[in-house]
Amino acid sequence: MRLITKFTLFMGLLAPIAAHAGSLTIKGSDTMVLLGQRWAEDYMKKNPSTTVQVTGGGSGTGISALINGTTDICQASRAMKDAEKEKLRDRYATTGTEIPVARDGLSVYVNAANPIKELSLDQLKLIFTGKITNWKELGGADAKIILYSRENSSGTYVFFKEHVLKNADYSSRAQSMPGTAAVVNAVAKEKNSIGYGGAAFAKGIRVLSVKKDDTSAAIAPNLAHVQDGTYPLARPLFFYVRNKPAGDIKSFVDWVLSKEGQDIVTQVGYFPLK
Amino acid sequence: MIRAMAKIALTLSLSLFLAAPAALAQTAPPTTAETAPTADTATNKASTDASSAAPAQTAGQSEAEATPATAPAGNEMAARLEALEAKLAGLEEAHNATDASVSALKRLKVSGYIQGRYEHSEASANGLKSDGKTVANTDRFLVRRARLKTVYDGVNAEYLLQIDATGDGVTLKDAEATFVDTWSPLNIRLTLGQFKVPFGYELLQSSADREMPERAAIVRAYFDGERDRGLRLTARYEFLRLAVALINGNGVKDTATYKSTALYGTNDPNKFKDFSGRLGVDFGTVTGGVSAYLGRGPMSTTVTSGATSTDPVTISYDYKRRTRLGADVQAYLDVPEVGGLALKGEIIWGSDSAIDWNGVPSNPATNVRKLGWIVTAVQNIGDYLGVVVRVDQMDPNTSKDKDKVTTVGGGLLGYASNNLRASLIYQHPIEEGTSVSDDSLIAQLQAKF
Repeated sequence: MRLITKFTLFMGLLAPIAAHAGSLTIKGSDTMVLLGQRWAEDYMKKNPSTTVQVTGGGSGTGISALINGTTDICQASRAMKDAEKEKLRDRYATTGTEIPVARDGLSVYVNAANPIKELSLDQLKLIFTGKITNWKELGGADAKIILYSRENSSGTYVFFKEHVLKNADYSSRAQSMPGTAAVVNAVAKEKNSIGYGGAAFAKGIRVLSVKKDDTSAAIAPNLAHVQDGTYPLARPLFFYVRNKPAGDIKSFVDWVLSKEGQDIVTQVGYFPLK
Repeated sequence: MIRAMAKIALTLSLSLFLAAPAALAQTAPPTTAETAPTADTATNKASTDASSAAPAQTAGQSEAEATPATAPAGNEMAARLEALEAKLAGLEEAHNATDASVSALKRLKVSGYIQGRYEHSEASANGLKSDGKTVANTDRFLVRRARLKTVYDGVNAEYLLQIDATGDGVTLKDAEATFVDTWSPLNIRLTLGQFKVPFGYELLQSSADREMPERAAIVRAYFDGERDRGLRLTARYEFLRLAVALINGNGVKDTATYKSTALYGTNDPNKFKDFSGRLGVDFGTVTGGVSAYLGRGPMSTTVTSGATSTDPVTISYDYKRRTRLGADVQAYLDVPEVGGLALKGEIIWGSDSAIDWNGVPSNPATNVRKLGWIVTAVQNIGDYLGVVVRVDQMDPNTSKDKDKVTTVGGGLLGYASNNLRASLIYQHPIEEGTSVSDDSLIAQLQAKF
């Protein structure tokens, strides 16, 4: 019994103070980092006693942080994989709580000077797997296609691979960019390039309309098409937490889902849930 | 990293370089009628100043002639810009090459864990047990597990090697050469090598994740060492999970010895291959499965020395048909304001039935059937503490009475981080027959990466 008492005290010493009251960490999706920062800024203005820290790194990095216990909330632009859920379950005996917080139309960017205005999912797959390498094959100029992609820790990279490439490998010619802003910047400078990323970053470049197949109509990633799901690359953006939200986490999540929080979604350039 | 920093530095210097004319314009003295320009208007202001100077020139003077000092500066600037752009292009190429190397290295994952432990048992005694070989003392410090695992995630291939380096030497745990299917929706993986036998839940659960220090008695009785060599196929589709394997059936712990030497070592003592498989479901908060193991092999080997040292030894086998069946279920609940609660149950039944062998009729009296079950509850308290309780029972021979042993165990778990877990576990075996004082206490610190 004395041994147990000693051990309990030892445990108390080992365990660092759990999440400081009034302090929240958010880690994950680069697509969502601007949105997260805006939410954090506005929330802290209304709740000065709460500190919200937001960092990016990619959805994969955020999910790892959630499993490792180094973040309270994970922002992810893709759903958690089975293997990630299993890791969370092994450690915390929970499968985590998934909370959709906004919607995005994953956008395909080309340079503003590019005459191409729409592509089908099949064409995009052929482009990004390296089967189509020249714009003239798509009715454009006789110029080599320059591919800009993301790093594999990015949720956008995974979503695009699953939904456009149908899990095929990206072309080895695709250049990995560290963030969506870098993709947009590169596409804006390189006339013959193509890239992809969140709708909120689409500035100074042309966003293509996307056809589900060759016979479908081309759909632009706008509010109506993203919310009703007719845009082929519409996707939810998530918060993931380990347990059912409680305390500071619940207060923040509730505010994000409120009209005030959803208005910020629109201001940043994404689409609100409703 | 250094290349990336160099690239950033170069980009910054380019930016500064391009901003230089604006900065120079800021430092130019304002005309008499003007106030000092603000930073935002500096560039425009400088242009205006140049225009206002134009009327003083003769009509035939070109703009270049009017500003003889700035033309060489402009050329020099363009040349420097060109040189910097060339340097940047070179660095970009180098960066891409480095990026490709780093991407290849990212496929290599190294992980491991060490379990340092102190054990205390009521049954402990000084010296050796009556067999004259086994140490009777179990009050001791030990390194229970020291694992190092390397995985390389290749193209349609996976290399996996795990070794255990404890005080008893380095042993091979897992060595898997796997073909990975990336085309079908079944996520098929075909492995040839040494791996855990696909059966049940607790056997397959990693020792780094398991809350109790050791597996339950029924699992240890049937799958001591947990692993075997063979061919394994796994697949998953939606909520279904399948793992089947053809294995030698001898396990990795050779219990047949002659003159203190393992008889079979890593060899398979017979041509029969055993089958083991588990069909499971995973609904997230509820998982489970059914398992079966079917095989044949020598359950005992007796080697008798000849009368003299030159006489040949006599070897006799006791061949049996091995059958194990199991079912397991796990449920995960989120207790509000407390944390995750895991409830796990498993039952295993097994039979070793004597079979005729080499003209020798079987002896049904040697048949043995075992039955065991395990119930475990783990309650997390916040992110840093947990409580575990496990009750397991094993009936080593269902034909005999008063031989069941039920073990009640439980304790505290503490997580300083995801890399460090401390546990204190007390176990109390309850013997159905003669009671024995063999309670045990285990304090363990696990560090993993």
